[in-house]
Amino acid sequence: MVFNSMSFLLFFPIVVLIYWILPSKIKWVWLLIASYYFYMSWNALYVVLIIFVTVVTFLAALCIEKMDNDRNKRKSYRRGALIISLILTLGLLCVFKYWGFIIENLKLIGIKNISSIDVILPVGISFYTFQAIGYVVDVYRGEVNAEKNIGKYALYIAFFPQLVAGPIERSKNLLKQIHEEHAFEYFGVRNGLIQMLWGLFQKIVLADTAAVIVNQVFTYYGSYAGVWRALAAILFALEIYCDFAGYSNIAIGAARVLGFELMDNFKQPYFATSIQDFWRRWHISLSQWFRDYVYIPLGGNRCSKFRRNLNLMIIFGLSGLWHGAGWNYIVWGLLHGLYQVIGNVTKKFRDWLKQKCKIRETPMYKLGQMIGTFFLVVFAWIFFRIESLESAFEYIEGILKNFAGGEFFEKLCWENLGLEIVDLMIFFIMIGVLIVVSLIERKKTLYKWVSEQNLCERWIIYLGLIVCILLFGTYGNEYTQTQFIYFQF
Amino acid sequence: MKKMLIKIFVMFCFLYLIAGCIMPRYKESYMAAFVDKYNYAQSIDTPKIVLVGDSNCAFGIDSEMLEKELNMPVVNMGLHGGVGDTFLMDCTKPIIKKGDIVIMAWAGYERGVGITDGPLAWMVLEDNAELWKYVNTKDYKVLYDSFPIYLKKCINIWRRDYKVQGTAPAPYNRRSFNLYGDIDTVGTENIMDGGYVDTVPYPTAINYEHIRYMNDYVSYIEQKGAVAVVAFSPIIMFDGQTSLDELNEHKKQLVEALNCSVISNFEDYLYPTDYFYDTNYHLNDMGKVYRTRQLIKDIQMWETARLEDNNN
Repeated sequence: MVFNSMSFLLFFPIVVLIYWILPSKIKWVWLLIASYYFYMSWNALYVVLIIFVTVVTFLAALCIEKMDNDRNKRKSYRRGALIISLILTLGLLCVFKYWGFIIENLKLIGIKNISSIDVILPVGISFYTFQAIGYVVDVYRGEVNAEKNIGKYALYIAFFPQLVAGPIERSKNLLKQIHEEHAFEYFGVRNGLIQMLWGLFQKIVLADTAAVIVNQVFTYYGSYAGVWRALAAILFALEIYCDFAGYSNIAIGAARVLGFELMDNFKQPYFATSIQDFWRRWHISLSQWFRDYVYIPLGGNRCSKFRRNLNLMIIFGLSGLWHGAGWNYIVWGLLHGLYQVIGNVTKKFRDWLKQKCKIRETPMYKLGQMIGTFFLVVFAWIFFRIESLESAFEYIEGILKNFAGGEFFEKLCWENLGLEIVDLMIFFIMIGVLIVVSLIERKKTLYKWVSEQNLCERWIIYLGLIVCILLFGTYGNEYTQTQFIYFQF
Repeated sequence: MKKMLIKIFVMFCFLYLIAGCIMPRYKESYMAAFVDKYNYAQSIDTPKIVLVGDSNCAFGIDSEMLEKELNMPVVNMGLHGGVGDTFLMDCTKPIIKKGDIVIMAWAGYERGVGITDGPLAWMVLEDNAELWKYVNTKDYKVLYDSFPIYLKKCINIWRRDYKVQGTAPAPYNRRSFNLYGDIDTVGTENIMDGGYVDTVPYPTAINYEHIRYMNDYVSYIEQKGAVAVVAFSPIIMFDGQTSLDELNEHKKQLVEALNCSVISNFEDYLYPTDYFYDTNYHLNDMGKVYRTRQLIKDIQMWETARLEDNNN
């Protein structure tokens, strides 16, 4: 059941209505049932995996807390419980996500007698295992108390708005709210619905329309000149942003309708002025997870420059691997690591140069930084999009060696992108809408801005978004609504 | 909460208004011809012959010839296999009356049960509110899930040319059907490259859920005082086509499984490519005549046998 499906259109209002009617004490039970139903709608067997992760990490956290560390040997038991839970949860993730990749690469180095396992990657596993691991580590560090109610803990892991593609929540935030009472609050529900509507617009009007051109060019890139390959790469940047941010907005909005506040996952990432800034704005929950649970334990910033840069490469390599079991994802992650390492290594020189040339950080300068950062990100996205490294290099070679910029002004070439000219024009207008909203969101959230408008203006915005989704949205083929990109992770 | 519910209600009214402006959009489409067939069938007060099947019926039977030879009004309800055989059976239930002879002719019995193409089903139902009560409740989910696709198709037509309502070139539009519900004329040519579209042999597998559905349909027909029989669809001859022995074995299985008479023999429906039009199931004008003559013989033989049984 994806958010942009008819099934969710039926599921969500029923869940919300019953939720707000039920007494406070059992609201969480209803949410737990709804969340498991939501997850099982993908494949009923998946529930075994999520129950496994839930039980393992719940028990591990209880064990860790129960053992006090006054005596040295208890400290090793606490660590042992943590390590066992990590091995079991990460092991599960490895089996389902990386086993095929591991076997493939072992075969390349001559180890051929390990059998492969034919498994389908369960949706959301990368997200909820990380969320569960984060909780156990927080308990180990003494930052939160272990949850005693397995039902509420199960809801924390399986909470349906963020179950399949994040945000990867922290126990300090979400688990705390599960214990709190939630009274119906009109503006909270309204703001949640506005956010969901905006998320649907991003997904159906922008991401799915961009995907038509992106899929056309990336699939048949051999017959497109460099200018179109470059355009498709830029549109892929738009597609993946609108797809993932759209999903996140729907998730956060849905949670808000139920009275829960989830963390923001995106903050206008393409307005970033450096790669470091980009990662403070893109998939924030994952970046913070890697920072808190991998980067800091590796030493963080409190080590030598060399070690710090090495840690960055490790983190981003792992981040790439988290996204997919493929060398292209690892290369994508390492590229981002390399960008930051180069940034760190050249920082002194760049600061010296700025001082020497008396360069001030004017708006034009910042715009230049944004554009530069954007193109670095787009370049890396090429590796993310194309599964084979060889094809990715071919793709880039085509951009550099056969740009053919003149084709940009030929109408016939635009007609070969998979969309009619009218639809293309409408699509670019919608991108304009996205840019305007992004500029608004630099100062305040969209729903806050909308709520400040007059009644008539608010309804024009609501109805306008709905009409745009209906008239200009790209719906799925046959019965399958187009999947969100991050579901495959 | 009351304020929220009122606003949501207003939103739904707005959406309903938009839907009303945009839909229905397939009034001139091939699928919309079902309305005409339905209305024509309802207008016949005397016992009639009802042809029920997929497009092999629409493209393969001369109902006027059938009517003249058998001295009974004929209505051809054949439409499109893509929408689901069971859906077509359900939608013809309202027109069955006492004394009718229902002739089913499907291009295979291996198909699943239920609507197979939701948007196509929407095109049939969009302007036929009374048919909804005959839609199987198990098909509601398919219809519900496919509504956005159908809506999008309507919106695309509305955006591009609001005057043109889902009209494809002949013979795939509503105006290509004659009064009886047959595709009127397609000429005598086979327009397929090489003479046939694919070399998939005629399927002899049987989906017994499909058979159960047919038997339930037969019970319904008999309760109404009508009678149902099964005839065969035309089968195109090519190298690798299912052998006659296999087809005859298939007929035996159908005769055993079905609760109605099977009035045809497969060997009478194996035709050369010259008789076909644009797919392996659609006959041209030449093939249509040949097939209809055979169908008339089959019906007459069956009626003779039935009379003899009744006399005995």
